[in-house]
Amino acid sequence: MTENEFERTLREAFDARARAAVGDQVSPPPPRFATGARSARRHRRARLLAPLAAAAAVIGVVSSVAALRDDSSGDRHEVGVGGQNSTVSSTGSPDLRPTTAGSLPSSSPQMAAVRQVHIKLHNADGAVYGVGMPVIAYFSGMIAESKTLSAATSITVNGKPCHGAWYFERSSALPGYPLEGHLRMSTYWPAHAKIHVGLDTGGRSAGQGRTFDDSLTLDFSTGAQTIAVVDDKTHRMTVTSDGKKVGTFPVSLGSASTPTMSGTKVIMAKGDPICMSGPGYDSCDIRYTQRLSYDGEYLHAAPWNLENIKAGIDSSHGTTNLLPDDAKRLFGVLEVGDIVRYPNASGPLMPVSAGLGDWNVPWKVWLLGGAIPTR
Amino acid sequence: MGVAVLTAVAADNPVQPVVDEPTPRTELIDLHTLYTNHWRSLVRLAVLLVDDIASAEDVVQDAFVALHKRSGGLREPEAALAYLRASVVNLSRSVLRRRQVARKHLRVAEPEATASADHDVLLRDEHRAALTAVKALPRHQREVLVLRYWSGLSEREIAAALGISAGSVKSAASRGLAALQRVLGGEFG
Repeated sequence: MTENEFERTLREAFDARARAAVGDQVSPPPPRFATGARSARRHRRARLLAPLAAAAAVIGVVSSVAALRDDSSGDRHEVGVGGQNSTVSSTGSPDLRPTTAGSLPSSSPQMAAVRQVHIKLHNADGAVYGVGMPVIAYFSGMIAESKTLSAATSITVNGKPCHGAWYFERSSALPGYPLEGHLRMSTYWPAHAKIHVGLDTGGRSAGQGRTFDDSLTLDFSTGAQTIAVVDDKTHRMTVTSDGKKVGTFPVSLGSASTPTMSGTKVIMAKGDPICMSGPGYDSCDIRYTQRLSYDGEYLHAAPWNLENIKAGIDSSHGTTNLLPDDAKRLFGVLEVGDIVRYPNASGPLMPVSAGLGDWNVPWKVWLLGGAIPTR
Repeated sequence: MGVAVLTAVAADNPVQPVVDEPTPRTELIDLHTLYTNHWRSLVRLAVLLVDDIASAEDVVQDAFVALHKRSGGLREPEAALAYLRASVVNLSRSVLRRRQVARKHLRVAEPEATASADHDVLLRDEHRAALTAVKALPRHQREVLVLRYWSGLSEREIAAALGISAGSVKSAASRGLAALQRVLGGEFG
């Protein structure tokens, strides 16, 4: 056995163990730092439940293998991804890759040389997103070419086939997943639509002797087309939903030394309350926040900054400060995937990697594929 | 017991994660988002270091509490993640140490015995053999191999997480691999 195969076995063994212990469907318990119970001993509950969970996982594997056998069409093994951040292997086991589930014994000589690339989707099945939400895929290894991936990708909107394209960047979002690809159409998704994405990648080439280990599907919906436009001249944010005006709200953006980035942003996450700190501030009671960038741009309530918000003076650390009542109302209107545009903010144009800067890349440039050329 | 876990972060093995120069425009990283995004991978990392899921979850909770209590905070998600990883490694060491002490003095049944037996049902033979061999390695070698092959960290990142030099990382990795190959070579060759 060569060193490389040995290392691969080790990697797979760690992966199998880690996934068997904590499945992709397991959601985190409430964080202890948020409850103030700083160092409470853990409950015995989890320890008692662990054998049950393992048994349930075994039953899951057995029943889904049985389901695949019953599937008379049999030629395609696409399995929908379920739950948040989850991937489902073609054997139906939520926790194990096909190689670790025993479907592809690595002891067979022809398999030994093939390196497998696993794809994990950020988007959740059954979720409702804003019309600006890209499909985000993380790749467990670099891929040498993306033509096969593009050919294996299908998109339907309300059942009609539509054209989309991948754009790639190196990523540090997930440990062990060095590459991130975003899939979008040339325009926002239509509002109130059902979107199906098929990645018929299982067994197909990722270039240079690598193959994708799995096929995936994703089904999600879009909500209303809600777009916020933040005008840094008038210091007003105007929000429309399906073309109807929701309201106009005064804002304070980043000061000259900490300007707010310009361009089109997409709401990445909502939080209420969350902690923020920086030079001269440190608070865990920031209300009605909607995240717009990894480095900390948000829409949020800023009860300490009422005068500057009302007077139209940019004074924040880059976030978009809102009056508390406005922020509360918008928290109920805006959802993950909704668009927030900053056509004339004083900072640099937001790049893709700063968050979901996807819409700041012109479609012609997008079609080139970024880090992994698509043509 | 809980207090001992917390102080271990600061006193037991003082590891300073690499913190990049803060960029001027920053709100601090959002701890809840960090928790949501990285809880799973950190618990998995801890499981590979301490073997049982209950201790692993404890370790990760304590790592986040430690980050939460850190005055000044961290602005870059990468730096925060590096800090969390270093905490997980340190706290896992404390768990193993406590377990050793408990074993010596109390002769109690090992908590991980049942948990890993259940998880092992889902593992293939060669993986089980590899994991058993990893468990038998010296602590440093095991940590280096887990961070390298599971977390996919670079030598520099591993060095930062463990508070050792890049040279030590390299030698621990090659010694660990060599030892594993000696143990497993026969089965796989």
